Amino acid sequence: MNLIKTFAVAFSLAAISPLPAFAQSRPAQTAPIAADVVVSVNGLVCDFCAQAIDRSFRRRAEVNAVHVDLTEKLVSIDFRPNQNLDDDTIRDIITRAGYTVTNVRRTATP
Amino acid sequence: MRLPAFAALAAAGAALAPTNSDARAVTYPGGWMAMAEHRDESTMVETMLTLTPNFAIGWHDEWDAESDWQFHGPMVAGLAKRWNMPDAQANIFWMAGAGVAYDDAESIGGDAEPAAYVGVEADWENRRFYTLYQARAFWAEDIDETFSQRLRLGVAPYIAEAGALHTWAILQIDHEPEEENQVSVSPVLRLFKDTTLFEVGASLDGDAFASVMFYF
Repeated sequence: MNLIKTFAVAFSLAAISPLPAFAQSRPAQTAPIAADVVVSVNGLVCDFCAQAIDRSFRRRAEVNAVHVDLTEKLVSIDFRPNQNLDDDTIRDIITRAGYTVTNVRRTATP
Repeated sequence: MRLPAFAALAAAGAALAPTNSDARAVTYPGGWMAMAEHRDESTMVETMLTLTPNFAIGWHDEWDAESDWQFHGPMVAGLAKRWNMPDAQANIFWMAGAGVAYDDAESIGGDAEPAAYVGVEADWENRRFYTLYQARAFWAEDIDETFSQRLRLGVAPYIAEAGALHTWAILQIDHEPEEENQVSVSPVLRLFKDTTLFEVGASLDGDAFASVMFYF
């Protein structure tokens, strides 16, 4: 198959990208947030890592927003009013997403 | 490759997974991955659902026009081992599938044979560099038997934060002993943003390929 035909296939594949519409409609938080908890995490090296953690937390009704800082290796979590997750639950969510928690720090009392 | 040899290879693959890329079959519990890849004269489509942190199930379709066969069947994949380091991550994955192969790439009206494949993949990456080794064997007794290996070395020209466009320049080396050109070298461009990963490349022999992958 020649190059042009293959590139045509590639762009056709790209054109079906609305498929992720099945995903949650809320976009990933890309700006720092006023966090209730800041978690230090090992293994945060790629955007996929951030997506996995973001989506794992956004399934929880207690969570208002999540921000992943790949440079500082920090996950910041903001809870909804009068909501909270304990440290063990936070560790479990991140561990099940495939990453290693090294520290959980509370910055505010919900 | 005969069945005992394939079984031995499968066992070797499992043994290479001592205890499990951006293109990951195993994501996070409840996470879906869908991908399509087209290269030269073959097309592959795969959908995976991760059930546990270390295990995923899915469905694999493949059409090979050059060897004139197609394969369809369920698959499983696992994360055998992950090393989470402060500034890097390394993984060992395994994958296997079994199904039916037809000796006609255009239609399922041809002869059908039971078929299977097994693979192992190891990667290491930090935010600047990326490496991957992948080996895969496919067996469909009277239709085709193949073994292939892939090595990738990648570099990110800039460091992107979460949610931004991530770009990788990758050098890919493929080894396919059954092919006339056993070794091919391909520059690859990878773009990854949010939940979509797109790759396009071409071997130095002129065979182009592209793939797209979605996480949801």
